[in-house]
Amino acid sequence: MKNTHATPSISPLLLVQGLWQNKHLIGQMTKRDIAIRYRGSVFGIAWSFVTPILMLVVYTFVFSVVFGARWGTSSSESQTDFAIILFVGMIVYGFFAEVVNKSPTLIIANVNYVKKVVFPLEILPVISIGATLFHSFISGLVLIVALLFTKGEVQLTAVFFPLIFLPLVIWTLGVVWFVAALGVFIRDLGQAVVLLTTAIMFLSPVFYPVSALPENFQKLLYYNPLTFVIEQSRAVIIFGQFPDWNGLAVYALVSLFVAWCGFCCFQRVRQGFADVL
Amino acid sequence: MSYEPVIHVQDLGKRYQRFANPRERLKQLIWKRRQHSEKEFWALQGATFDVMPGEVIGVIGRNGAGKSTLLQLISGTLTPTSGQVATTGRVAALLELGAGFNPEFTGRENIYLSAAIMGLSQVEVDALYDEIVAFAGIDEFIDQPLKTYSSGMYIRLAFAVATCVTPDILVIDEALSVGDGAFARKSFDRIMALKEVGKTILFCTHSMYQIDALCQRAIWLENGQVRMIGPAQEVTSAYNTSLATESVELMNSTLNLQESPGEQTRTESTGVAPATGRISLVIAEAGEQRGTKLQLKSLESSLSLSIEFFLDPSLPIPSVAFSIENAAGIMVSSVISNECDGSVTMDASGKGWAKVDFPNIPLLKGEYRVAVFLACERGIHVYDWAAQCVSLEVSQSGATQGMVVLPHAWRIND
Repeated sequence: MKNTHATPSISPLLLVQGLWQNKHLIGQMTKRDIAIRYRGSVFGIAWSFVTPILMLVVYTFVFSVVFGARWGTSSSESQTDFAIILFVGMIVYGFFAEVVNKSPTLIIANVNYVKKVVFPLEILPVISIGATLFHSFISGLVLIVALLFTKGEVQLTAVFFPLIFLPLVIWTLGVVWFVAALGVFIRDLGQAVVLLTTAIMFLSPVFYPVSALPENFQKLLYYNPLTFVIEQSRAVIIFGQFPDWNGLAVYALVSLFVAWCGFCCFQRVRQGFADVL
Repeated sequence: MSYEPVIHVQDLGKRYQRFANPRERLKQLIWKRRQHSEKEFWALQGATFDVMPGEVIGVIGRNGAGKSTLLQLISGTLTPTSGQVATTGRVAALLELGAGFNPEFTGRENIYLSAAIMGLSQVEVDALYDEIVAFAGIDEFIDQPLKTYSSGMYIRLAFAVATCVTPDILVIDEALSVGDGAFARKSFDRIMALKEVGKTILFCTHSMYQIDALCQRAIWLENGQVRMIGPAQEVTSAYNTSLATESVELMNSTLNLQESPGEQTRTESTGVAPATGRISLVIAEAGEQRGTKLQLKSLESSLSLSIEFFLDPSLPIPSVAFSIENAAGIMVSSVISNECDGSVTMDASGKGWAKVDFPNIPLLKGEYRVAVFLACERGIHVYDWAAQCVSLEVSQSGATQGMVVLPHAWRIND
């Protein structure tokens, strides 16, 4: 016999086990989550490509042509370089912002799953992240094409990019668990989170390199967890450098811890969802 | 079959509190502190029972007695405030059909999605897919978005998906059969089939008849407490007694017969939708009188009631039931044909009739109403019924009190 209402476990082992058991459901729902965005539209999935391409064109025009901005990597920097470097930052930030902005309403938007059916609620954030990852992946493809187009080659070190991206996904998952759970009880969270992510866009080295800041501000910028990922991504994709392995290891460990903390919060308050929805 | 219980409910309780706002609930969850509040009530309290494999248990009680709460706690969608529930095997809950559906997606996609929610893999659903579509009978619409479905199609698909998994424990809130016409019969048969293969079923209903006919045991809830639990017939009769006591109290204030319906109209059209039936004519006769409003003399008049109906000819011969209730709505007596073979006749076209006589009607003075039911061969699934189709006005000589005269004999002391 299994106890229907055992206190939700916070064991990371059971968490991983549970996610594995629900892999079919996660797969199904992620597919649906991706499909629903374009359901009924004429171009369908083509929109996933149009959006990043258009963004890249607009960045190139505004920053390179209008502002004449230079990243300052080398004197031979071309007009498109800035846009591409910017685009790498946008992929990383875009993933984070999209997932986090969606998170406060994640549970609220699925009241049926809370009250009407027996559903493993903890997978909702995983599904949301999966769907967003799909769009990041498309953006990644656009980036590769753009690199081939403008430079004629892609740095081999770009293969390390997924390795750098993974810890970001993991700790973002923790943030989503936390925000999604709290969002059920605190409805203001939706507003606050959008403000916060917008602020983070400008406080991350998306539009500028860390090196563009005065020395004492540079250190401060590294408290932003996105900074490391953005900088490392550029290093491997654009500049052909190897990742900072030690930094990455620490970063990965911390991200696992953050994910677990978020999960604990989620498990702690999930029994109250049905009471307030 | 093992003799370990499949559902174990121990001191189960659910307290609802009205929170000033959701943040209060959050605080309570974080600090795990019980705040005493005036604004709380127990929807269910102290429920303890075990359910053995293969048992069919009915939950009865008035609205708001805690029936739904109990079923939701057992299926796991609600979290109990106290006590615990343990279950063995796959639990399927028909609490709200189609709750996991997304109207934007097609029928096909929703089948896969909701089956996945119930824990089925892609391969398992592939195997069941054809059966689900066939059962729901929505073949041509399966690739249309769900939002274009009629509510009947929606409910059919939902029911087909929900019951395709052959659960070990089935929890059903309110409706034993869903949809209408042919599908009602089909869905009912499916639940019966689960009962017959020894699955455990827990359901709530307002129909005492269903409880008596289907359940071994029943649970009677009142104001969130288990008032009684035991053999179905004992519980329903106790429950009926309690309802009756109350309605007699009500009677004094609301004794007022409704206007009797006019002459019974005959529906001439034959032919009915598949797996459905229709009562086409009800005739009441007593001597010279014939119609829907009869005057009877207690212990003298002979009443005969007959019914004509149309039924899908492919169905087995149905059962017919007449019930007589008094002005307060308390059932005085009833007769059902399935306890007497050959009492209902049906020809090859599906037209059928039945007639029952009550010689020297033993009703005492008062106004009574007759209801007629056309039901499946087991007398559980009702195809059609006509409530209050005949009204009887009984007069008597003498001052004997009560509703009926029981067969009796005075012993003469010799």
